[in-house]
Amino acid sequence: MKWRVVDFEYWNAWMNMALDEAIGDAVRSGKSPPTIRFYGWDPSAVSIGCFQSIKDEVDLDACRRMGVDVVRRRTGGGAVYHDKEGEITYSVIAPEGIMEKDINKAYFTVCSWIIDALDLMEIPATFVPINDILVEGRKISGSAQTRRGGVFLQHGTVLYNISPGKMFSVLRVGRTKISDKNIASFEDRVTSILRHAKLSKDRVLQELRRSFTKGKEWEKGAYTEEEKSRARQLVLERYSREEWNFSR
Amino acid sequence: MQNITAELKVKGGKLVRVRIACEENMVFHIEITGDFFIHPEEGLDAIENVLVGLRLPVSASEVERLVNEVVTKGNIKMMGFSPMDLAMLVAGALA
Repeated sequence: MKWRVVDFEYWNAWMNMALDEAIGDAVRSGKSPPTIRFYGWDPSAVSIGCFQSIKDEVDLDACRRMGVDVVRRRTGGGAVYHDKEGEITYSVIAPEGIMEKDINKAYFTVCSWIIDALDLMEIPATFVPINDILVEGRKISGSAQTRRGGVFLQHGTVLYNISPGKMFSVLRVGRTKISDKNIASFEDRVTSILRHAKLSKDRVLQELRRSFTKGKEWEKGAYTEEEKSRARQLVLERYSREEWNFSR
Repeated sequence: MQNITAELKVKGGKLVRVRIACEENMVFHIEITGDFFIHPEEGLDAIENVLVGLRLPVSASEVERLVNEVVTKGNIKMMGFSPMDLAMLVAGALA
């Protein structure tokens, strides 16, 4: 099966999440091939897991002051600050049948693509179940997965250049969350590519694409008009709505 | 109406919070939040629903039995916390 790879583009938070869902719809109906997309967030945004309480996780006043958008994902997992300059996000959207049935194995597979890309950048990284990739004990990438109506979605982040100040202004990180980790502070938990290798974002994207497509038949592609139109509809119906974003 | 909040960071797992509203020694409403995963995602509503109506006092084993039932029936996978973790959290909050 030939994969479509959509190169890095910036979208706002609502469209980014809506595009994942719209592509999933198109994959389900057989109109689009399995897709790997790389993207950024403009403006910077916080995404929260679908089971999180927005008020527990996000300083909404700080977000408003800083012009940071907030969106609830369809996937579980934690709150993520997606810095416009400092982060690369990916999504893998495919018929469930071509990915591992076992959720943990599928996490391992896709995270291995990221680890292999980091290896190409000479950054040794390890997978830590359920969904983290660490470099020297610090998180450089996190992912979340869902399967709906026969379609597999895993999306996640790769930190390129962290802005701890901004990150910790907009995220509320409770002490309980880090209580089982032998670290001085939450800030010590994260790292980024630029801390380990002085590489351009383009080079990082090139290595990610190389690794994600290894052994696959693939071609570069773009979103179809139908996908973009469906995504805009999903923004109106779901991702921009308080009923969705404030549902917990 | 009595409102109770409790949270647990599962060792090697995820953070789970519960907000429980009780009235006349009965669980009136429960909301479970956190950075865990549940597949399918709708499974969380089913888990919450099965706990509404619980009469106090409640034991962890009773909560675990109810959660296990709904998890088995709905073929629900919980990742980052277990029915026992949730049971301990809920029973501890209601103690």
